[in-house]
Amino acid sequence: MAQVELEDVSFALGATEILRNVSLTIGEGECLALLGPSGCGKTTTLRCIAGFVVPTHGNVRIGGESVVNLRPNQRNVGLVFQDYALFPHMSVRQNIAYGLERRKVGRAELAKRVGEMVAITHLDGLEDRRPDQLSGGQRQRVALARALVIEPDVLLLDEPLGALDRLLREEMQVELKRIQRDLGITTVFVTHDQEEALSLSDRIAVMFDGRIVETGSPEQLYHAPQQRGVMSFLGTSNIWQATVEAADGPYLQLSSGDIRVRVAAETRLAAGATAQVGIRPEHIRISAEPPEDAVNIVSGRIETTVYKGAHVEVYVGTAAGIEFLARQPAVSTEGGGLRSGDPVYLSFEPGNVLLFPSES
Amino acid sequence: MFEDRGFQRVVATLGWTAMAVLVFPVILTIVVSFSGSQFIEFPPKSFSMDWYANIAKINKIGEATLLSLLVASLTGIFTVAMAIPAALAIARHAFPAKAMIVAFLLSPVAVPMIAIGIAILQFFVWTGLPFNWITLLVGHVVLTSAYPVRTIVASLTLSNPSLEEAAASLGASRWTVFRTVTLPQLTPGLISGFLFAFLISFDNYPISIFLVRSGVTTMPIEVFNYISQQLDPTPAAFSTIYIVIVSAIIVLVERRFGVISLSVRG
Repeated sequence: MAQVELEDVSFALGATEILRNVSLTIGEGECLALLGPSGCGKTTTLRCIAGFVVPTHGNVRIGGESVVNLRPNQRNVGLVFQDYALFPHMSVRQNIAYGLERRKVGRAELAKRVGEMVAITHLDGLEDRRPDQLSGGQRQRVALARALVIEPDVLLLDEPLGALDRLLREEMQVELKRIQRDLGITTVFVTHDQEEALSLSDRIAVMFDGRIVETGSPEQLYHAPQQRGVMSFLGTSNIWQATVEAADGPYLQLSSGDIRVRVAAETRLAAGATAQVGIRPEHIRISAEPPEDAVNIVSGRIETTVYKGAHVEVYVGTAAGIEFLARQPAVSTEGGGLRSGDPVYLSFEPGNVLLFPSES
Repeated sequence: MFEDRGFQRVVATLGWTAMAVLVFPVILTIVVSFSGSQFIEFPPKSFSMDWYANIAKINKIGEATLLSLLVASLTGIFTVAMAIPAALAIARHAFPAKAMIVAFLLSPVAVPMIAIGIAILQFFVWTGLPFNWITLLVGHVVLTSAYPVRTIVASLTLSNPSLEEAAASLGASRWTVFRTVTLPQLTPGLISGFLFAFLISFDNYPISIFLVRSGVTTMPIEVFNYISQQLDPTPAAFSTIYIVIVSAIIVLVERRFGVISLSVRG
């Protein structure tokens, strides 16, 4: 277990910059998600820590020691590949024991540690099977056991749940979190799945285009992202452009056509400045009559409703041409009383509205 | 179009015709070997095992077969050993003039054997080295070198490169990675490459005929010599034994390693 630091790491292949000045510290025992669209450099970052990619600039430290000059086999990292990369010619036991054999661990000690890891990952009874005789979830657990048994300084996971189907994925999410917590191992995992990042990690680093654009706890990044791009990448959101009109008591008032919103903003922007305004669909209430106590009210017409089981997604068009998505708890009556074409009022709290000054 | 019944029937007919053309001579050989006649006749009018007893009458057949086995085994071992590094380079690395070098390595497959034979003969005459079984071995290695390269490249292409990275991340040095992970992945390619080289060497005539000198002789040469002087079915009996042994080996190896599918894909 150790702290992992990336210091101003850049990597280029010819003229293509893949990583640009990535700096990141992963605390001891922390579980960090590298989240971003494909091609953003998150896997390359992971491979820098593992040693398969040597940065063109910058430093990588594990437990305070620089490892940039060490080959992958000289670093003590546990790596789980997206396709698991289990050795097909070896049994489950041989797969798990592989790293211990390389470390010249004695026979009794090896058997003991493999046995412990088999128990932790619930692989009891499967020790003599070959990888092709295992289900997807079992294979993943073998890959995890093989990486963990060497007691690595850091556990690296590349899209750990990407190859599993939906049900198994949720089961393994819980399992993975349990194992990570129990062992208290420093963990970095790469994912393009925001749900996976939100539910598995202590902290998320969002990457776009070779850069880390924002880091924070899942709650911080979901509820109070500093960047428009982060808000739209994490979950669904309504974001539109507006012009600052005036400060109004504790609020800042912005307008876009006939849509006026008041934002509880800390940043004071001059009148006439443009900004992006964002609101999560679950923070919008829908009512047939204008609510009396609401600070922000937008009128519109229902365009479509999409039934999602636990909730209904309602698309509302407005005169200003902005389409809103609101998420309402589903009620048992058919359509929940929401019909396409109905005039409705959308209302939301100023505290739930996010403001991103100009561009960003 | 491929689901069309008529089309499927045409393909099936062509397939079975090709199979028949390939298999018929083999069946003919086996049937004739049990014939009681002094001459090769089909269908045979009587049954006998005499020709099997007569195999020993083929000139130097025991000695020649042993030499053929020795040369074929060594040819297989040498070509496979040489093919491993070549295949690794071709499958895993980019290097200058790669396409040209690959084409050159595979060229013995395309060049007529007679041409290769004459070239090797001239080479050895030019070097002034004595002609013995080692000259023969060198000739066979040149002739068969392309086949293991092909099958090993196919094995490498099918194996997952992240296996090697996984091994490295678990603490294995490059050599250990090769020994414990890469090599086992190559086994089907090594076996089928060896088999190709062995079998091509074992019954090769056109190259060997240029390279044997007095005292050194191989099985195919002696069998051909016998056929050119006698017309009885003794060579058929010999061939039948050969066919049975080779078929058994191929079936066993295919069961264990699935090498035929590999050769087709490669």
